[in-house]
Amino acid sequence: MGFSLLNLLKGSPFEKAHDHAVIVGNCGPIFLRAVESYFSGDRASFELLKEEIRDIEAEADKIKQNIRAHLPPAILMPVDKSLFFSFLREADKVVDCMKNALYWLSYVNLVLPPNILKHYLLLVREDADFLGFLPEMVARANTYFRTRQEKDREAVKDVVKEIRFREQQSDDVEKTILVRICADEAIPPKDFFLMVRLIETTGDIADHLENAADMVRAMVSR
Amino acid sequence: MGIETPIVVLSIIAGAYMAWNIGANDVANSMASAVGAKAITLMQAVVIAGVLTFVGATFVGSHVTQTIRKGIIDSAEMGDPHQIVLGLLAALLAAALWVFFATVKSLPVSTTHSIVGAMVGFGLVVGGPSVVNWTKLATIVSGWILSPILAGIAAFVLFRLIERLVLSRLDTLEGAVSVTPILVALAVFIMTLALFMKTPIAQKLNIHGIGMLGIPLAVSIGVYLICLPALKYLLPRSKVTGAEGIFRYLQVMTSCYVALGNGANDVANAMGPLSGIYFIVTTGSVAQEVPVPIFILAFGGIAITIGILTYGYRVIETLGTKITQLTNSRGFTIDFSTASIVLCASMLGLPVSTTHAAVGAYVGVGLARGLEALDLRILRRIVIYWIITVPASAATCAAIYLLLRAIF
Repeated sequence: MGFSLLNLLKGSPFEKAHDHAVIVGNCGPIFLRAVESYFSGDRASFELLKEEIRDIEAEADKIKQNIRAHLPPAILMPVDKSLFFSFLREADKVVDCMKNALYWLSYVNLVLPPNILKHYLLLVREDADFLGFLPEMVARANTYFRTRQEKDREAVKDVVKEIRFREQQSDDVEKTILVRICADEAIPPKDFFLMVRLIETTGDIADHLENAADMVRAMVSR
Repeated sequence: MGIETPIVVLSIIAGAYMAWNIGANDVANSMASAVGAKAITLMQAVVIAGVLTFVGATFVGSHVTQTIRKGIIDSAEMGDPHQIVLGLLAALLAAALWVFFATVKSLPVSTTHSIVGAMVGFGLVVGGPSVVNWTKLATIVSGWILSPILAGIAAFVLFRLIERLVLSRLDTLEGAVSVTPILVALAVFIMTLALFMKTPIAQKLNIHGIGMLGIPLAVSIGVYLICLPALKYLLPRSKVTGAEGIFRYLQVMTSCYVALGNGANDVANAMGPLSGIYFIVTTGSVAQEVPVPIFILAFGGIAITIGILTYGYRVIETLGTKITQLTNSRGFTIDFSTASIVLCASMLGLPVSTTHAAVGAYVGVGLARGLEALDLRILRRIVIYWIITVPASAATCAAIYLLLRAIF
């Protein structure tokens, strides 16, 4: 076959990043179901859902590694490549946090006081709902890098703003839970440690998503 | 049957093969961005390229060519017409063989560079270094280096301008209405200027001096004055909703021009030496410049068109999955920058490669953050083969010449 100039063009890494984001985004409802199963005492379902998250995490990891492996220094991108890799890392940490939170739960039979459980389930629902913004943000960024049009850039900025706002809300819930845990003198030290660890790990989901959003915002800056 | 007959037959075969390659690779490459940006379909690209390249080669292609392409070697110092015929044939065969090898191996070599290298090889083996016009060769090589760089700069600046003035507006259509007439006028100016400077049209119309510049300027201003109100009137009544819709039409326009220019400029790579052989064989004398009969140009045009129809489409088609990155504005930027730089170089008499100028334009758009992923490793390959082409075709030509001399 003859030489074609189109050889200069490689497949868009943003499309693969979108595949990664879709996989991470799909974890939200599974994570919620796993936590609800755990606290309703259905350990069998919890274990199945925990393994499902673990498999998804492995698959997301594979996609991330594949993207990195196919972006050698000779590939020119419209964004700073280190920023793009950092974004991928942060997006990947989202599913890592979910997996870790579920693993912490699986080590013991943790019972949360009712007022804390209510807020914790709220935090998990927030996070699960919140994760849907990740594929949406990456899809919009993908469109912007393809078109370079201002309206598409504005669409990315809108979803970034929404993620930042939702992260603040999630942070507020996390702080409320931590205040309640600290105020409850009746919690044994081991449970206290596990609860704080669980709440912080669950809260990190929103933090990492916000970090990923900040990187996307930097990537679309003019 | 004299010895001229097999020489002429071999020359026709080698010339046709060179022309076929121009169609198969060079023209396909020039249409790649238009197909990639979905401005035209593959079938439309093949038809446009086929028709316009044939028209360009036959009717716009230079009707006078220097016997030794671009005067790289001094034919007067060679003396014997028979040696020159063998040399021209060797150059054609060497360039054709090198291009054939490159096509089989998917190597990015240029037909222009191959024929120039072969001519140098012929000169060196027949008359030694003294017959090679090194200053001329240095000018040509500088053109090869400068053309991708200049096309890259042009594409970078143009894409940044389009981004700033059109794409960064919330209403891209509004930006496109004010910018595109200027771009169309600029394109028309360069095209008209090239038409006057590179073809016998100006001579036939008795245009010279200030008219060479004045008429293209007047035409482009006229085009601007028609384009601006026409866009304002037609757009609200059309289905075009964004700037990309307008750039689609612009890209079709520049693609047509690239195809026309390709035929006009590149046909001489294949038909120039063939014309030289034909002239020497029919007149028995050597001249620094010889006429290129229209039937030879038409023959070249047909061979280029066959190259497009039989092979060129595959070059684009097989890479269909990689073309999603190109939008019409990017495709237009690449085509416009390539065509402008190739034309300007052509006006200065520098045989530059359209493919290499296009490479520069792709990189320019990539550096302007216009492409999602650009593989610079291909660029490295292009530069390596670009450097290899001249000595490789020169050495092949020398070997073939010695063989031909032993036979004839």
